[in-house]
Amino acid sequence: MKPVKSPVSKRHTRRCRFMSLTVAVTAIGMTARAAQIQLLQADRWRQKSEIQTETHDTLPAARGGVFDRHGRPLAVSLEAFDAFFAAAESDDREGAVEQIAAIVDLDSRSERRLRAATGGWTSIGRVDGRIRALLEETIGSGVHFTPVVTRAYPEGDLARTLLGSVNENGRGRSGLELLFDSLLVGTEGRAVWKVDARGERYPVPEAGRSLPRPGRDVYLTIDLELQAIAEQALERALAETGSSGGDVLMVDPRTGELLAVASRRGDRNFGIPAFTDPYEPGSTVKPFLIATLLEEELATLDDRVDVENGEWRTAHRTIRDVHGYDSLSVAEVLLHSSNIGAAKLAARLDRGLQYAYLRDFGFGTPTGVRVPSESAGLLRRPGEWSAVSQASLAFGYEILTTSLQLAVAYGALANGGILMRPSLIREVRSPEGEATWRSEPEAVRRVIREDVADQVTRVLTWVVSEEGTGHRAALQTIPIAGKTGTARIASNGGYAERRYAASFVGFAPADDPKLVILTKLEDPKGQYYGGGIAAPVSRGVLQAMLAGEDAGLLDDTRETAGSASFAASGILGLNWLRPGDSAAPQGDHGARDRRSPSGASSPSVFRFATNGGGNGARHVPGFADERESDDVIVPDVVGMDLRAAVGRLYRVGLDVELYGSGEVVEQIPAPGTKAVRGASVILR
Amino acid sequence: MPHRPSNATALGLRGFPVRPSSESPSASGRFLLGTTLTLAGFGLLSVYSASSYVAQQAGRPDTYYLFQQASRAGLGCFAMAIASVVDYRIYRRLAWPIMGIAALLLVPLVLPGTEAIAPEINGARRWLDLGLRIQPSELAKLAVVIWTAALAVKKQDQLGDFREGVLPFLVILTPVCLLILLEPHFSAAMWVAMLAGTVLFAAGARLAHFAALGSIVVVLAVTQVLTAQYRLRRVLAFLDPESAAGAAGYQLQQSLIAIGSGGLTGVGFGRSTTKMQFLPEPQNDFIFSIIAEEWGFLGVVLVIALFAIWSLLGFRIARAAPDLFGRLLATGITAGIALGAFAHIGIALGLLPTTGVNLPFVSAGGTNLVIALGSAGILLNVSSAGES
Repeated sequence: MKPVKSPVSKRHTRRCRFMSLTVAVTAIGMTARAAQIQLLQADRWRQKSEIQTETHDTLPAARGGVFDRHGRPLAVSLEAFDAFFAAAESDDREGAVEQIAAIVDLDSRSERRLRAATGGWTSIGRVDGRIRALLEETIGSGVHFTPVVTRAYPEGDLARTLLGSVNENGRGRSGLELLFDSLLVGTEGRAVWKVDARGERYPVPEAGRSLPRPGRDVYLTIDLELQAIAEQALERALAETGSSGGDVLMVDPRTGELLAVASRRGDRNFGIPAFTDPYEPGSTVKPFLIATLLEEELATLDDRVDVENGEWRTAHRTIRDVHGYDSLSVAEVLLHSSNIGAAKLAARLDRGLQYAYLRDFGFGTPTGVRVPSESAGLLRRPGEWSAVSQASLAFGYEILTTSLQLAVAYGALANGGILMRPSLIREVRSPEGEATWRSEPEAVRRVIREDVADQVTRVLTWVVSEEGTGHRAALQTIPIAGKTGTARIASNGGYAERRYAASFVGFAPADDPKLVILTKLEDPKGQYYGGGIAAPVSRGVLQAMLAGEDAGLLDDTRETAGSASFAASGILGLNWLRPGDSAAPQGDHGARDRRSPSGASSPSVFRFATNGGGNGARHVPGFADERESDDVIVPDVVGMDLRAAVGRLYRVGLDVELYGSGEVVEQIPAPGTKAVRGASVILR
Repeated sequence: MPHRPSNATALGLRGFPVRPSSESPSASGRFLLGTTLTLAGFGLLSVYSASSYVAQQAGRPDTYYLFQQASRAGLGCFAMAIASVVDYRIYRRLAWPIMGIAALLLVPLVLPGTEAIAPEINGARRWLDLGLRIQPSELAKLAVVIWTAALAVKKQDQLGDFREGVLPFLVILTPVCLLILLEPHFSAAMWVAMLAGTVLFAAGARLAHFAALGSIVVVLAVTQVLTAQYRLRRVLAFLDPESAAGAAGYQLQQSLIAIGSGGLTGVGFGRSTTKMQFLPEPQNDFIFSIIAEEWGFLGVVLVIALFAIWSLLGFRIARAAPDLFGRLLATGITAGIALGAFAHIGIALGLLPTTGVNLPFVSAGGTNLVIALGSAGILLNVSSAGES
């Protein structure tokens, strides 16, 4: 058939061509439009797509741990979950609630709320990994979990004032938690999800998911055992003397490391008063005056000073001593803590010199312990001094010092005249366990010559003898050097009646000092002399240490917290505080497990081994206080070496009163008696 | 392809005017066939990707729509095979019955009391459920092309005259459009009018008449748009997609997100995210958007090129047809496919107001696919006739 070549056909051909052209133009136009959207505006649309189809979860990062010098955990992070029940997703709502109630310890209110729930997410509470697994297994659909990190303090109240606490967001609120927050806090991770228009989520394996990075671990210079001893001693002293507050500090004079910091002021639950609250120290600064005179060769220990029989009227005021003497040697001024002697000796000094030495011992300047709120104390410049200032400074007034400054200054005496910068952190470690920062002992300056330090130490050892004010700090087994102080407490521009700060600062062993112990009791009721109430506290502390020490007192506090020496046998290697407790977590500090995340589908990408968990750990696995069984059986120590006997008694939680030395010949109460934990056993 | 008489005989088509075996489809026809099958194959792939998520969300296997589409494509290919061997001239003789049946099928959609076979879905009654669910307006589109072509051939000498040449078309087409409009299915009614207009245009109707009728249609259309809230919203959404509230603005926004985030090379097959409930009917009204997202600009160019080629081949076949009916029929069929394709793409690209239009050969949807493939078969038959 031949194509029809009619006019109609011709017109049709023309119009067909026109339509073809229309199609071509349309196609080109639409291609251009597509190019505009897909090539020019692609980023913009991609962004919109991401906004609507991608969502992310914050994966909480574990906060770094705080450990003592031997790697024993003081504060750790635990993984927990906030559990929710989505009633609408459950096939058997009532059955599910029954099962939840059987697994989780619900209070009646949340149980009622769960039973009433018909939609949305109803809170079940905070659960640990084990409970989570149990809930998932038994209930299946309808339970949801969001990971949270909680903070736990394995040692309970021990060192809690020092450690402080975290807020509900897991950030530091007070104490070291606040101080080291920037170190401890981790970097949150991100889990990316695809989400459909109805909000249903799907994991995206290839998406930019970032894992949470735990915070750094902080290893303190604090020794857990010493801390426990210090806290226990302070608590007991506060109770026995009725003091409103007090400090017990332990410092390694050779390194400046703080080994124990027990500090309390009434019910105040923030800050570390030993670092932040300065006071007039009283007689405990007298050794620095003597050291200055000896260093400047303005006196020898044997120089005699007329001490006016206990009462010295000057043009401005009357200075009194507790015991009156006709004259005393320079050493005896310290031995009897004569204010008159100190005032007269101070007069030999140029004001500038007196100021310079006190300054060099660290008074009036922050120690640099790296605690932001550390007080500098107060030491006025000589230009601001009055006529009596030199005398006042000689026996510890017109000067404000923190307990820390005082302990550190004694450290200089104990350390052959070199003042060390105190430190509280020993090491900072990355989550991988590498030390990113390590504290090195830092000498601030040499204040006095070594022979001068030795001379002062000798006198201070005499002070802690039958003859001196510090005799109640004396121990049979090791020589102790120290000085007592009893200062009136200033208030409202004057001195309060019958309000005193009693203190004793000493170091041991006197012949090779390894430990400075400061005890300060504020506002005691009844007896208030430092020698009477503070010195025995220091002795108690030393006794406790002695008890725990198998290889001899204070053998080596320099042991590093390096990875090889994590074993819990530190300087004192004792577990006596917790006879029933299992050994402190070793090496890998059990509560934390930094395995890399497993399971790509799980939004929770870090897991901790649940600590203990034995006691049906509900909610956050708290560290159940298992060590509290109040009664102990007094062991038989008769015939034992005194040191071994003391150790034995301390290990079961008993205190010791010593009379005599050598072998134990008698003990009260008798072996086998039931005694309250903390009771004293008298040994002869 | 079963365009040989032996096959037709085997298929039991004895008695139908089957073309002799010597008259195989022209080169244009073979290209058209290839393009059609490419599009249909690509359609299967795209339907699977676009629908798998929706299917699974509805608790069905991911391949649910794929298999459904595959069986329809099989049916469509069967229709194409038959149409390619059935002499197209038979439609000229059957033009009135075909138009009658198509119009009749539209009637239950507007009658009250027929909800059992013409259920209301999403506020409109567009489907007829006779065991097999069909969309009569799809059928009407083809019927209108056939009928208009047949009548135009008959009245080819009077087309210049309004009363003799144009009015008779309006007498029949207006009620058909009204029926569709009453479903309501505004875009399909417009579609039918445009197809009829295209055939008349190809037949040589006077442009002045188009201008006059066109302005009437425009006035009617504007009235329609203004009287129906959802239509007005769609138009407004089209004019200002960024700020448009409601479903239309949302759909267009999602479509643009899909297309735009595809970029040059696309996010990859099966990895569209807008199909995750963001785009409604991703395997159907917005399949082009999904293709653009997954295959990127390259895929878009390919799809547009395939449809442009298909349309140009169709018009070439029309020009080469041996008689006026063949020319007009081929023109109408080609225009139908081209109109569908570019309307669908234009809507997806935000160049036209949002309305549900299938992408021929590609979108999931039974009636549309079978009729599109059947139409392609008719074109093939026209092309083999024109070759000789």
